[in-house]
Amino acid sequence: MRLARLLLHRPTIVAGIIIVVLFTVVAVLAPVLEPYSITRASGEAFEPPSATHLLGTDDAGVDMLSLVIAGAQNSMLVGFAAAFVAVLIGGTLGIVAGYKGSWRETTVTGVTDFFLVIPALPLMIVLAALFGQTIYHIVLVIGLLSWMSVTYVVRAQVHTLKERGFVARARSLGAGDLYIIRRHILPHVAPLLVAQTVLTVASAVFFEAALAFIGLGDPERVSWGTIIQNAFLHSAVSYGAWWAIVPPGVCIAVVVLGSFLVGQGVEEAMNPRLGSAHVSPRSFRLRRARPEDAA
Amino acid sequence: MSVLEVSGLHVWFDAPDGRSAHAVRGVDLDVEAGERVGVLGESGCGKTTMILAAMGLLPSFASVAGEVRLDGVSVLERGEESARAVRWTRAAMVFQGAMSAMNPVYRVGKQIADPMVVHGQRSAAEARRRAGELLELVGLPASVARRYPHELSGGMRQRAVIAMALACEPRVLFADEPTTALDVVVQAQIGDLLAELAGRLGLALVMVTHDIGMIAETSARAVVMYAGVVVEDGPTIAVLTAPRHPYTRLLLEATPVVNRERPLVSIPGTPPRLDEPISGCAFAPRCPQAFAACTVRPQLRGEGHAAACHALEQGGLP
Amino acid sequence: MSAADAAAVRPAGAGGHLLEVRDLAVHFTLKRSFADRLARRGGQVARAVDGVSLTLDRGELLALVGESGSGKTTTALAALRLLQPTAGTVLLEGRDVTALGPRELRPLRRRAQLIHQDPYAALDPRLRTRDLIAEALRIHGLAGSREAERATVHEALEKVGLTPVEAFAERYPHQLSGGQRQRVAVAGSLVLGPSLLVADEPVSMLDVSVRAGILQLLDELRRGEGVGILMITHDLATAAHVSDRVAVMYHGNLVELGPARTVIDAPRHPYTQALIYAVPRVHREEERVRTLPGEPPDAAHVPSGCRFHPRCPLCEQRCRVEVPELLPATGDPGVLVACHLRSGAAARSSKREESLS
Repeated sequence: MRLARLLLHRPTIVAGIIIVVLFTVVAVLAPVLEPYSITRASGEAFEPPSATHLLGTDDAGVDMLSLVIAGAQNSMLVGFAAAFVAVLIGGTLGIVAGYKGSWRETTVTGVTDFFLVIPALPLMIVLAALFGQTIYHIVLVIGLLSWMSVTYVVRAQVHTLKERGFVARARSLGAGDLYIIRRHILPHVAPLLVAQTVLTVASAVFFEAALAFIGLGDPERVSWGTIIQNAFLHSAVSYGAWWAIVPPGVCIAVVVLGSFLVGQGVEEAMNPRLGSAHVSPRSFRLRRARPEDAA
Repeated sequence: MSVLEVSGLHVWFDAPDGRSAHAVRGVDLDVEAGERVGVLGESGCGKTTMILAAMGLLPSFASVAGEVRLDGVSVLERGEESARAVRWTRAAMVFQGAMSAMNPVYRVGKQIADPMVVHGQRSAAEARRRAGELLELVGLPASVARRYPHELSGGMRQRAVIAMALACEPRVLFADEPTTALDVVVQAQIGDLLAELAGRLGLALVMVTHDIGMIAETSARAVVMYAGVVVEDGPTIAVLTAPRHPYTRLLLEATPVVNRERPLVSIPGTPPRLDEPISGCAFAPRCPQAFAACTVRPQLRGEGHAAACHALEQGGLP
Repeated sequence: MSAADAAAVRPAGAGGHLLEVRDLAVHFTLKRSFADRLARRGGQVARAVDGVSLTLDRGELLALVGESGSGKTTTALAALRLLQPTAGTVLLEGRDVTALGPRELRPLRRRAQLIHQDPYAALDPRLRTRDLIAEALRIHGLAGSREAERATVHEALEKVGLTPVEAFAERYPHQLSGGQRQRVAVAGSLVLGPSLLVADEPVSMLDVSVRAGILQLLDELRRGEGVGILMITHDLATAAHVSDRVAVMYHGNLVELGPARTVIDAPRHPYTQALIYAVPRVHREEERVRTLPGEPPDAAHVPSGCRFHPRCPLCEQRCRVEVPELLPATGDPGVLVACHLRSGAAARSSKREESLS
């Protein structure tokens, strides 16, 4: 598909795709990949990285590498699930607002603005503290506070799509709104939704870690955030056990970066004008004409 | 020495996937001061690319070969550097769609005066005075200088854009479809204005258009382009009443005219793709007179009224 | 279906016209400025179409000619009920459709279709030709089995001259030229079997060498299928080549209406005269003289009396005050003109003056 070809031409996007795919695969295959058990100690407490424990061990002697891999599963799960919730809400609202306009649009933008103004993390803390800390609650809470930017972006694109010739044609053929949304708007908005999903994964992973770090993560599961939280709780810093903190942190950073690269890349590919070729000073290149050019 | 000399001009556009479109495939064109030339062709023939190249206004994914000289000064020799030196001062351009050529947040007078100041020709005060004069030259009241582009009608905007082009007293004025999107009556006004200015100021006017009627009314010389090359070049009356190239002839037969005498004919087939090499005459696949010799690219031949067609050299065929 | 058959299928109803528009008016209210709100003034009204009446019969091609802002497109869209008229009546096949709601209008879409101006924008780039053409069928639930649908699509492609049909059916829009795209758009409308086609500038975005083909297609459709065609165009030359009758619009009003050859060769209304004179052409006896001063005013500021009077070289006192009606021209009742000086009204009123003196 043309989109795929466009994407694969840029090294940054390719790097981003590799990162996201890699971590997704690790997350899916986590139980198989973990070298050691994550529930039982396999070494001494806070052992530094060695041949047997590539990333050392945590405060309980559990292998760090296994923990990080297990954490990947939950962090990525929360990331994707929350992103899915956010884009589902945001996408639907964005399409309704953008296509129907008038009072529907005003209502949606009003509600969106309201949610945007709320400071996300404090609200997440409150909600998590009130309703519980299972992974499902976490996903919902993050999702419910991440849909707003999606709404605006989707609404903007639906506005332009609505004015395009083939929508006018479908209407003159007698198509109703639902038909047009289903067959003409959605397929064109889909790449944007994909981009938004990936971008939201980035922030969702980060928010999950933040929640876990302050103790509001799911206590039954291992995630990158809980690993870091656990390390701090058990004074890893004073032990100098950097390996208990840094690896999960690096994973978060890398996943966020990778998602961001992919999401931004998809948006740029869909809208070439986001690039700056048209505003840079013109600088055509000179070439020697060859005899065969005049054939 | 001609005021505009295009020699052996080639332009390629590179696509992100590595392919390249050969948009202009070897064009030679000389225009004298005061000459009014109309460049005629359909979409994709390379006429707009050619004049953009002459102004050095090609994007970064374009590459050029050959030479363009304005008043003897090379435009392409040193890339952007040499182009910038001659832009607007020796050659200026009137673009299609005046609304996109003007900055909506600046007043019209300022936009006309700016080029004079930027090119160091006049002081700000002098430039503003001269802008008023230019507005009157194009048939607008000097008070228009204080207005914003969106406050003007389409025809007035196009006149303002022409005034902007004349700011630095160029020797060559390029116009890219200057009257499309305007009403017929206003089109007539703008076309006549351009022709009149060329005569009055001794400019060379090179107008690119697909509208045969516009060329008939405003240009003394017609150049017909097809698939990146010039196929016919001669006095407008001769080219439009006694065309020598089969494409020109078919194009005329396909053009609706108000005083309808004969049925319309469309030209079968489509122009060749420019991202694939073209061997021989580009029009041969669609040409009713194509024969064996057409596998070799024809050269532009003929004194006064030239055409690039092998059939002409045979003598027997019209 | 031949013109004879089409005529036989005419539903019971008053009059025999395919399309009839009476005193159509379409006004748009512009947003009020803040100053207006403070002064409690109503918003400005753009009177895009102000009292237009015309008829179209089966197998006829009527060209609606005018400059941008003349209201020709708005008139056509209102006639198709893609816009709500502010006043007036629209009759489609004898049936009054002026006040119908969206639900009642849907079945109407099968009888009257619009060909859009821009073939590059009108086709969804993600769909293949066969899906684009079948879309109309699917919207109205007429698709039937896959084979039936395919047969209908192929038949439509044949009718518009896109052969070999199997090859064209599989192509995407970006693989088609402008002329081919326009043919696909026409095919997509034909599958519904409409009796009325409104073509909005059908060739203005196409290369000259391709226009003849599309115009020929429209001509064939009205002769062969008996379709009535209302063609909107700003190009008089195009109108001259294919239309039976020409209607000239200026600033929301019809100023001239008559057989194509008559209106173009011997225009009566000063605006039509200026328009025809201004059309660039290859052969002209003397140099063109700049004719009309100024430009058409915008729709929100309508001159009093005859809308053309500020620019008219023949303007008299009466023209500034009294709106001229569309009446038979003096000397040729086959042409209707809206001009005090050129229509029967002038003859009548001057006769009255004579009898009074």
